[in-house]
Amino acid sequence: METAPQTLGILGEELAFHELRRRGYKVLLRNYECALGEIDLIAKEKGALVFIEVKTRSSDAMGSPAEAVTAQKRKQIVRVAKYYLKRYGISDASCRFDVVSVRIPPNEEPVIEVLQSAFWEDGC
Amino acid sequence: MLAKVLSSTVFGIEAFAVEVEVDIANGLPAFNMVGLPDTACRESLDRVRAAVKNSGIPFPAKKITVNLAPANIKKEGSGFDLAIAIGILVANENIPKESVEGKVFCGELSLDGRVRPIPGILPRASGLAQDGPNELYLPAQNSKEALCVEGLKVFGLRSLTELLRHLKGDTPLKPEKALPREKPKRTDDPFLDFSDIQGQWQAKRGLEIAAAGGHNVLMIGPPGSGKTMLAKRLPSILSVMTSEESIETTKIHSVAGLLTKRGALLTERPFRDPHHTISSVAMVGGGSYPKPGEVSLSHHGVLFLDELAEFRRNVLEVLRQPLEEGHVTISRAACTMTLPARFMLVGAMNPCPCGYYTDPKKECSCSSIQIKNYLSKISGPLLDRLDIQLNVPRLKAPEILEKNRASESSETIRLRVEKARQVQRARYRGKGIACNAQLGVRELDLYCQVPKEAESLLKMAIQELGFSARAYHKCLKVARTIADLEAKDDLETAHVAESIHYRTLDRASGQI
Repeated sequence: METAPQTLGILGEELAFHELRRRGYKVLLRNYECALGEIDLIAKEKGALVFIEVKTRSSDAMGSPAEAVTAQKRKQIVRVAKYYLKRYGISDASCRFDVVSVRIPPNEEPVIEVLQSAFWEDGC
Repeated sequence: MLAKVLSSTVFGIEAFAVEVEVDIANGLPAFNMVGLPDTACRESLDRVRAAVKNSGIPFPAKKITVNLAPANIKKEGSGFDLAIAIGILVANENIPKESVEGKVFCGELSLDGRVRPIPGILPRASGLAQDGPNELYLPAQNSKEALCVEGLKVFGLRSLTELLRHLKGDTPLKPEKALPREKPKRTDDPFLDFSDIQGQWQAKRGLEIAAAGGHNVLMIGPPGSGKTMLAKRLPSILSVMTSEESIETTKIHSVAGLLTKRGALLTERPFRDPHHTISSVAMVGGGSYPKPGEVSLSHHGVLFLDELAEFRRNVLEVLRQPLEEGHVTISRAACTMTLPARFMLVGAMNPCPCGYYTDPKKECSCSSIQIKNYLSKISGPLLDRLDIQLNVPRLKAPEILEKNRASESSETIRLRVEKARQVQRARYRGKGIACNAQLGVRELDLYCQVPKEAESLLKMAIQELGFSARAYHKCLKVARTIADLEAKDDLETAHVAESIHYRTLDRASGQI
């Protein structure tokens, strides 16, 4: 059965959350929102503050989930991250941007990939 | 943490030191470069990132700032890759800070961590030899070039990994052994010898004088008379370069990126023959970071312009400054630089558009206006600067059909040229003059005393043939060379008469 896009997204974020926990990430916040936008997960791993974007797709027909994190989206995440760091006065913290790609093909097991340091402040 | 690594860059043909400063701090991961880098330079960040990663070291996901000091000079090219990579690894404490002190790193990185050759190594090396640290790390393909400079410890690198092992002290590299320096030698092409050319003894004599004194030559004649053949064989009778000349010329070729294929010192005088569609910028050099043009590439050699009248007028006019001064000054918004350009100009052209104006057999189909327009492409000022103007007539049947070639070989002519050059070198020692063509007005009075009988001849040339003051001076210089070929200390009337004879176009201008 086809899953509605919104449901798929929520399902993907749930799967990503558990996968990260399993990998030893300490998740601090889920769906952090501010006026500038939203970050799916903020976690701590090996002393670094990690801002995580989760992308979920049911198939690779329109490109992989990680590819869907466009330059515009990356820029937005960087902006929110900067705001977050400033808001809590921790601008000199060691940070990282990760992307979690979740594939949920219908009637198959989901595949979860964690891309560490997926992009940088300059969007590359 | 902060790291400082030394590198070097080239401006014109001079090198200057660049300090690559790398700061790694916490915060959002970013990789920025400051210090006026150009695009190729800025792209270095992506190359370095991949090269470090592919050398098996995780690239630090931190806030990295790279500064190329002094920050007010524009940096260009990919030569800083190596220094930036080392800077990052020192700042990230992958290699100890002390291990890079007193060392200079230059080279481009490929994505897999190999070190690629870059242009302009020789100027960098000789800049370092004068002042600065004497340990130079550079791409292996460039090491031969750097070894031309004495007093340097040169390390040729193949990969970043190799360098890291060396700096950590795991597997130290050995400095490259200096090879015996290549001696400048004569141009030796068995297919280009003067003995191939039948007849044309007058043109050969003219070229011999030109080679002996470094004079500019113009050859005029109908198609197929052998102008190009003669010019192509000119390198085979040129005197051998001195080692200073060889290094100077190599520097220019190094900056232009023409050396990587050969890798070491240029030992033969350059011979450049650009096509007549060349632009003025390609001729004198240019670009926003000026690169040497043909006039500089033929420094201490020959610049051959075939079909001289077909060149665009502005291209010929830009030759004036280098012909007179021996260097060319290029100004751009970003900078002004002076490049050496002391060459022997050799031109070849037809006397008219159809080519047969001076031909006794074939009839010329051009109108007098066409001929005038054709010849006027070579402006007076340029013509003045061509010391020797040779008429290369069509060969007669017996000359073409001649079977046993008794003409002289290039080597015989070259030995005479070499002797005349030695005479000049001895005479001008310590005066910064290499050959007669470079004499100034004051030296003319000193070395070119005209005998009494020749004075009236020159007076006539000025009055009747309309010699300009410059043409007169050029005439004396050529006469000096003719005397040197005969190993005579003083000018004689015959020398002056012959040199007047070599100004065909000045003499012809009255007739056309």
